[in-house]
Amino acid sequence: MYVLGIDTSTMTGGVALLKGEELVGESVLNIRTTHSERLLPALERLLADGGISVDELNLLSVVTGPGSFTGLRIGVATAKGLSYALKIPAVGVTTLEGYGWQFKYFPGLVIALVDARREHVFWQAFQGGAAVNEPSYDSLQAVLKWCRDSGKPEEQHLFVGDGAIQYAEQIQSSVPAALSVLRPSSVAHLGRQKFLAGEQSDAFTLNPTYMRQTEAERRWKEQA
Amino acid sequence: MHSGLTLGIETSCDETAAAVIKDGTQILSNIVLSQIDIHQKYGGVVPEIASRHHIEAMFPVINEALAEAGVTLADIEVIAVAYGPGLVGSLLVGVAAAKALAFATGIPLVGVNHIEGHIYANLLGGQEVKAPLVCLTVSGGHTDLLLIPRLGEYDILGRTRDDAAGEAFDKVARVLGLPYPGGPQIEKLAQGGNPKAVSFPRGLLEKDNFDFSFSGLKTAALNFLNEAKQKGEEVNLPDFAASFQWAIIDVLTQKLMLAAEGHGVDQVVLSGGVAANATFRNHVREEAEKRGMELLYPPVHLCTDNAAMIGSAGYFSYLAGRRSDNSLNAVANLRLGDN
Ligand SMILES: [Zn+2]
Repeated sequence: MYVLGIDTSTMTGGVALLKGEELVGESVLNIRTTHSERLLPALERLLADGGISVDELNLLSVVTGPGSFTGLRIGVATAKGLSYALKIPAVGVTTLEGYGWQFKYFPGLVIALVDARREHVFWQAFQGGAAVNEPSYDSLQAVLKWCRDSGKPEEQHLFVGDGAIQYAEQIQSSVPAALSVLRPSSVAHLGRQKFLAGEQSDAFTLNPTYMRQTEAERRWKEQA
Repeated sequence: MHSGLTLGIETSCDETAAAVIKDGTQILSNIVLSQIDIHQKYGGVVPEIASRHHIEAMFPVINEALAEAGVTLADIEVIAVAYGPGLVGSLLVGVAAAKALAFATGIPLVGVNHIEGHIYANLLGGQEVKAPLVCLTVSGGHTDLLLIPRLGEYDILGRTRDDAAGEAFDKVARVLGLPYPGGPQIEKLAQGGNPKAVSFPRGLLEKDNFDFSFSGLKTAALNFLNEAKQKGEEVNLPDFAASFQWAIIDVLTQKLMLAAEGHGVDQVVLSGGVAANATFRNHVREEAEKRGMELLYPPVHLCTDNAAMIGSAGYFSYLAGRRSDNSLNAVANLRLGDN
């Protein structure tokens, strides 16, 4: 089974191809060029280098968010189009779950932080790949307090994600930025695992996970 | 697949649309899902909300367009998608979807300029379009005056320097407490009003200037309402609306006629949402008849944004040999002739 992983949730992103559990190839770029311009060319190269044609793909796994709204929609719309045309299932993976999976061999708590600007983050904590709380939107200070209240010593907390890079000074114990990049292959692995557990969606049901209302909707509700 | 079938995709503003067109002129299906109701309470289109609805609606709409045409993706010869001008976040949904479909199937892809699409809406009405002609595209987003020496070739004679004509309608309607979009509301209000009751300024009416400016008119209209309010005077709304509408129609028509005469064309063409305004159409028709020119405009339902027009423009662009590759990006301020 060929599984394609797609991540366009931040400026860093790309595609990875698995054959079963085995990695065929992966392309990750951290450049200013938009995902709209680079996603399909990267996929085309990856398939060509792997000697695989697009209609051999069996499953799509795509990051649905949280992250850049526009970036997420490019990845999700692309996955929808591939799913619709190739008649293959797609599985959505959140950025936070992706990090939880990628760092599941860390013995303590993995705290995935996605920067939401102004010292706020989307976040979730994992232990051994399993979520220990619901994904939430909070101030960085609230997250750090949650960590102190967890009763675990500092060295048992691993902060990952672009939020961990952005707020490295306040957090102290984060992994080096290079390791904090979500790998499209992690997304592919986790998607495959979810699919084998019975989860799947398609071009009609797959949608972004924004975790936030739009500014206009928030203001409208405040006025009402 | 030589079927002559184009799948058109359009998401440049607040309409999620897909259509299947045969030979560039015959509509097999034309699905338009409008978000007007959603944006109405905000008084205009909210870009992020529009993008969020596009991504949810895109594939149900594409699927419906194929089903209604009685075809499948495998029957399609070319995929055409609007890639600008418009709201970049909205455009990106259609562009990403179209590229993925083309990449997965090997069907050729053509990126279409949305304004060019509006012009091709005329071909879908079963009308014969005879270049050279002068075309005026007017909507909430655009006011473009073009000379078309041959189909597919465009000389931009003029465009708006500030607000689009439809935008001026929207803003004044908003102040009057009328829902978005404002054009049809003002047209309704203007019925029975005297278009000469209030004299509003006309922008940039010099003879050789084909650019438009509607911000002065908009400000004058808003000041008129404000002053009346301060003096405690009641405004005759039908007179006000008729005069305001007339000021826009007058400028649009004068420039269109001047351009048509200057370039010696026999045919003038209207397109875009404002071309659905009956007072505007009738006035342009009268003026065109006086000069022995033929006037074309699309059927009302093809004046506003739709994917049939994108499919038509894309098909002729494809026949002319144009192709887009899978790095095609959305271009918010795409100009005609940039492709
Ligand atoms: Zn338009």
